[in-house]
Amino acid sequence: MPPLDKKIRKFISNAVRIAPKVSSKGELSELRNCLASPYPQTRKDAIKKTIQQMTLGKDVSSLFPDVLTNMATADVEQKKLVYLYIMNYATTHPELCILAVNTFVSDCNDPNPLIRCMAIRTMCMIRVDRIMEYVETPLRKCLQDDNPYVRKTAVICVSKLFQLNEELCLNMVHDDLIPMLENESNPIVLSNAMASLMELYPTINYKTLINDHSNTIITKLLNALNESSEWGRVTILNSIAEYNSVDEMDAKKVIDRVVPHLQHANPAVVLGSVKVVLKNVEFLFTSSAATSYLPKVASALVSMMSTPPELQYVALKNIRIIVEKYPTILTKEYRIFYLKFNDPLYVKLEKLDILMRIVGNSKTNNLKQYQSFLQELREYVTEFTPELVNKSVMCMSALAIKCPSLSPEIVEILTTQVTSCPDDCLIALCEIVRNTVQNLDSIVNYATTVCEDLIKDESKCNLVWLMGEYPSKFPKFSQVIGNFVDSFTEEGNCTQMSILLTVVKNHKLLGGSILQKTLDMGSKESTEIDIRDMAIMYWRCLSIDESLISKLSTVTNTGDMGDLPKISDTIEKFPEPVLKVLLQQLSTLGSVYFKPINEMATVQQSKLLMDKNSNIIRGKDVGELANLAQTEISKNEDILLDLNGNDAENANDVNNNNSTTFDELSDLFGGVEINNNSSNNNNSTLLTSIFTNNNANSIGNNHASSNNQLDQKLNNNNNNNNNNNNPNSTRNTQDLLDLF
Amino acid sequence: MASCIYFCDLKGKPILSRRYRNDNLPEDAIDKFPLLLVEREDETNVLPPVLEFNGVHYLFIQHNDIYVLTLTPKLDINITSNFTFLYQVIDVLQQYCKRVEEESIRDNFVIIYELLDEMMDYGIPQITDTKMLKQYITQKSFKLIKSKKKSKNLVRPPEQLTDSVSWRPKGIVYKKNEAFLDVVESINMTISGASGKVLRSEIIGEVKVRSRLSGMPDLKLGLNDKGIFSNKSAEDDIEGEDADAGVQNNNKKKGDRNIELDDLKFHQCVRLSKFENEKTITFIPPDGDFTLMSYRLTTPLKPLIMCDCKYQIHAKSRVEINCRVKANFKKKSTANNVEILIPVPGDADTPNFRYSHGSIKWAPEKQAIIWKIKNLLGGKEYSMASQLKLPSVEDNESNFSTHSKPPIQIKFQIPYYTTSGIQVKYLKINEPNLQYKSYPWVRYITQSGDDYSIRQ
Repeated sequence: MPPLDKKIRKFISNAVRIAPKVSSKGELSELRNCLASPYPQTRKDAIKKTIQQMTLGKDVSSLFPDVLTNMATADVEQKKLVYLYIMNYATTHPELCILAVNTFVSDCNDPNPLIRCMAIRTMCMIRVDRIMEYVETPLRKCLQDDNPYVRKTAVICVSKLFQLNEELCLNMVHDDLIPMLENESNPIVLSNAMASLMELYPTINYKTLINDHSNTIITKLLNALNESSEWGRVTILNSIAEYNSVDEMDAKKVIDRVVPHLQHANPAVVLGSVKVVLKNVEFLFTSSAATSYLPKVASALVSMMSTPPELQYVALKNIRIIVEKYPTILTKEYRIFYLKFNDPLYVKLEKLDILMRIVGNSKTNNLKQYQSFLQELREYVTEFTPELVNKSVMCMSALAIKCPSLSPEIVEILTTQVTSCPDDCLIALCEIVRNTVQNLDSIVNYATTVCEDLIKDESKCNLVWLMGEYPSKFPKFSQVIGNFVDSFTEEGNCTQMSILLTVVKNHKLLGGSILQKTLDMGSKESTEIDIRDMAIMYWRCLSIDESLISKLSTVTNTGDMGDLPKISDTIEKFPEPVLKVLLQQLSTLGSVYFKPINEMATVQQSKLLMDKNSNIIRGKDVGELANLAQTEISKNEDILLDLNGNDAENANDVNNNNSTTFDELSDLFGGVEINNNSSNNNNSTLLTSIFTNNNANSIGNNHASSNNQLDQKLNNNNNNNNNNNNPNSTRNTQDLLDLF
Repeated sequence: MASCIYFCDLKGKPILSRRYRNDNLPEDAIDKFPLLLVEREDETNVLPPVLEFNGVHYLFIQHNDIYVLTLTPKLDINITSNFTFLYQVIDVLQQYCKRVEEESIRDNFVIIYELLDEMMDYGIPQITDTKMLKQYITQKSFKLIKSKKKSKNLVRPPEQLTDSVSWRPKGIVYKKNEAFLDVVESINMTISGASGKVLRSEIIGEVKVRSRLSGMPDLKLGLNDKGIFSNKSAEDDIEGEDADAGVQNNNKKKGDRNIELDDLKFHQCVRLSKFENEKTITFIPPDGDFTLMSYRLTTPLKPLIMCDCKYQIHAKSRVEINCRVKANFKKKSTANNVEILIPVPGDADTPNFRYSHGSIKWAPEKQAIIWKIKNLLGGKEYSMASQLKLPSVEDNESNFSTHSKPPIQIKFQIPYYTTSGIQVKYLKINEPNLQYKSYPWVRYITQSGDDYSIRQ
């Protein structure tokens, strides 16, 4: 209950009030009457009601003239209300706003800076080019206003004009804005002027302006940093990040100015400073200087873990980029990334990703870290959420590969303790087999017990691969493979490919009819062009020489895993050029998607990327990729993004392979050399016969068949090329040869 | 940089919006937002705060029953600044309308528009300091008559707004000049229930200030921080991960109580370069309440309050829980408002409790029982026993035996106590013109952070 005196006061004030009240119905006619009421209070209420109706989505533009009549008033508050109303229609109903232009112009001379501000701001938002003739004079005047509050608004207005009248806008930039950067003494105005200039990029290239040593802008910005508001600092740091230091001294100067801001309370200031420091640290040749700054950066990054989850998410994504450049930077602090019970899932997954990367990067005590991390993972795999369990299982396999001494323990956990996701466990276990065959027996046992429960394409693909590699370990080998062959058409692309290769490899065990059936289905019924290609290639091998295919399988079957190169790492990495670009755009939206922004990707870079066969947007699910791809393709602006698009179309393959395709690829290439030699020796006659048959396509595949995994990679690769230039076998082969 | 800001209800339907610029955003982009949310939910449990559809990126945060989001078609916007801004918007609105939720937004359209226009211009964040905003955005939409008195032509942007000291208006006068310092330490800790070992612990500390000082005082804060007193920075612990242990040893060797604070973060008002160079914390405080600094410490801690829980699950009939709680801090101190959340199977019912202290409540919506103890003296140990019935049909989802149990969570406050041992040595207040006497007051409190849990 409100206190008595309050009640009395309310009663009195209601009684004293003569002005009629506006009813809450908000009908247009009633509002119109009230807007013209002789009582100021009623008019004001009516404006408020109008705004309310507007927000609710009702079209109150018909009241425009009525509201406008209320504009000429001495009451600031009422004026503000009218401006609010006008602003809302400034973009949608510009033709109405032009009516008020005279009032705007006179308000630009109002003694109250607040009014001057509102007038100029609103005027610049009206999207009618005719208004330009009215705007120019007041805006120029406001740019020179005594009051910094007005100036700070006016400088932003300049960039607002760009879309309406480019010429005028650029004139103003050169006449006012750029000189202001050098002469303006007020930090807020300065930072807003900078922000405004940055909006006009690339028409006005603020980057060259900052890097131009004939002016003092960079010094000015560095000096303003301490005086600015927090948002001003964000802007200034953003622009300093574009400054390229000339030498070590210069870089050190920049760093020393910026380093204190790593301790600002605003996360945007912190990440902005991190970006600047990291960029300039590279210029420091004396390593001690660099190492004294990096711990500061690390501590700033760690402190981002006490911010709200959305910001943690952004920070984690950025940390992912940073640790790739400086792998040891956070290793000491790895415990901070252990999951908290009430973290949102998206934060948990990112944390695991970071942990997997940073654990064990230091020089000493790695084993202790690994063990501690494994202990945590043990907890996580028993959680409810499938995504979290999946990620933890993958972390375990990465850990087993990073630290072989833990791999027996991990295999035991995966085979006995994780019950909720056989698919993911099997994939993880197969990764471990690709690294070491140490625990093969328990893995094979596990595979036999879960082989009926697998759902995912990628896990089935892995199962078939494992069986094909070690047929002797599976007593029911032919039966299970037979079942897979029977259901060939229902399986996903990865599994189909895997079946095809396994059957060819082991056709002696399985018998000719199964081989024939598989090749038949592969060449006719698969929807995937690579599988059809592959099947047809094997058909031809068969038709050339019956013994050819046996030779192929003996090549692959010499000793279990004997020939296959071991994988040493399952953690995805960015290719060098992408990493370089990403480091430059820390804290941007692009950094969250790990997506370099267009302009950076010059043709040269993208060519390099092509060669390296990189994919920068992996680690996302198919739907997201597909969406991205669509938009990218529609843009179709440069080759780099084209590549993404293609990969996204192959998203199934990429994701299904699940392991880090491209990293392995580079590993595999090492292995391919060896394979090449051996197969060349064995099959040199054979190769020439194929050459003479001019079936060029099979060469690539011939090598590929020696290695199941490699096949898939090459096919991805094939796909990329196929999508670029319609299936064109000579071109394809050329590419493949290049790759070798 | 942000193109617009939207307030949406829980379903994703817009309540209020402000477009700051014309970024070729389709008008109806926002209509897709609820659909995106639903689609995501159907596919997976992961809902990241950045969604993309058709070239439009949706950045959103959730607060009470509303979503606050910005849309943008550009990849090169500063996302950190965007999220921080959204949080600041919530913060400012909270100061203006107490609770920010769907209803309060609908009630305060006008003022929110006005604030949004002041806080951001053309997508560039401007002023988010509530104390300054309150100086000139005085409108109270629900108290029409009162605000009329204030208005007139006096509403102008305060001069300080664009100064380098943009957070403090001039001419503040108090009869009694006082400054209150609260040192609040929140403890986050994960303890393994089985071994009693601490798996992870951190202290997140904050120094909160309530300043009631006249004029433009210049303050200097002294703490017993190692980094602040001896200028030696923490370079020696770069190598090896046993730095934590190293710090402890250092402390023991020196025998003094100087501690080392990591990850200091300061309010806008602190002169950062002065801290960087001279290790002194100097500042002109805003008027009223603000958080001066925050820090984080990762020294290994012993659990302050330990809770040991034994479950005996008789499948299909009942579950028995025996729980002991022990206060591991000094006898002088007391933990207040201790709240222990003990998870129970979701399908359990008919609780039955036996206990000597505090009160116990079954909270079926949280699938837990909550044991509240008003005062828990240091060194004391209490116990309770409870029994809940289980249904005869087993439900796999809420079954404790197949999945790990959720952790026990504990909340508490211990006044007059800091875990880290941080101490305010002095707070010098100097107002060059007025030269008044002033009284700094210091208070310490340790409390549970957002994650003080015992794994089972």
